[in-house]
Amino acid sequence: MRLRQLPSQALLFSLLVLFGAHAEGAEGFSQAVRVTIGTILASNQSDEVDARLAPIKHQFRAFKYRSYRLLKEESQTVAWGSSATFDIPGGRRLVVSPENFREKQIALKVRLEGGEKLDTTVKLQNRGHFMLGGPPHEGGVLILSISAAAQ
Amino acid sequence: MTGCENVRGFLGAFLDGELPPGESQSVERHVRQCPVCRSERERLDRLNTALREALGAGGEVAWDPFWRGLERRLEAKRRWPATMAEWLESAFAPAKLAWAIPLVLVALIGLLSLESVPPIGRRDRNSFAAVESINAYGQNVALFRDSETRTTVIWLEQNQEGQDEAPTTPEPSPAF
Repeated sequence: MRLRQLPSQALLFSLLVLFGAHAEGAEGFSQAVRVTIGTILASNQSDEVDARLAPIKHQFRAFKYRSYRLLKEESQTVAWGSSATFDIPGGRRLVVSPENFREKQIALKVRLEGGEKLDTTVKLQNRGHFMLGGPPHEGGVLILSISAAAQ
Repeated sequence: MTGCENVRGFLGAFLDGELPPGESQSVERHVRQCPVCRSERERLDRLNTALREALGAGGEVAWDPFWRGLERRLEAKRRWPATMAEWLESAFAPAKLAWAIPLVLVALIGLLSLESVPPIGRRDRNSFAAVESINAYGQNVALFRDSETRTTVIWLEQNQEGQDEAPTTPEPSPAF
């Protein structure tokens, strides 16, 4: 290999690296979203907080319930533009449709049906989450922790 | 070359036979006429003679250790700047510098990608979610953001009449 050829090869390699980085960084490269729904029952019937909720326990300070129990947690991988349905206790369903991924934010369209009805579009950071609460259930209320991670 | 000072400056070379013939003759002439310069020449002659005798008495001088020591000292003095210069020269040679570009890029991409690594306790990492639209179909809805925990909450208020599952005991509204 001639020394003179090295810079041009390095330049080619740099371009490939840049192209790869662009493809990786371009949110369009993400093909799907891992959506996880945690269904939590909040009530005042006891003072217990489910140990599985420890990572988000501090976020319950926003509510004035004393007991938090994780009823179920379900994850689905959803392709962009399609939707996934999650069964929520009480005959409810949560339909989640990932719309786009721009500036490290995932736009999620969320529809609650089968009881209370709600349509919302939320932009959350990749691997971030938000909470949807209020539907009454078994003497308490349901709080849905909705998180999404681009795959 | 007639001044005494000039001549004295060349006396050493004159005695060693290093002057060109013309200059040598000029110095010779001046020394013959000038008692001060002649005296200086004689002094240098004596010195040369004494030196030759001393060297002759001691035999061959062992210069090798001296030169080796000198070389070592010179080498030690030149070592770090020379090494640094050699390193810089090789590191910044165009060919190597060209390869440094992709390496720097890879390092930068690696650093930037660290941000996407999920931390321990994946749910602990949360920042405000931006709610772009909400339609609760006539039901009261509250939007709350807790700046301390950076949590966004959409809260469906329970209708007074109750809906599908009215709680058996009235529950308090959330504290926001």
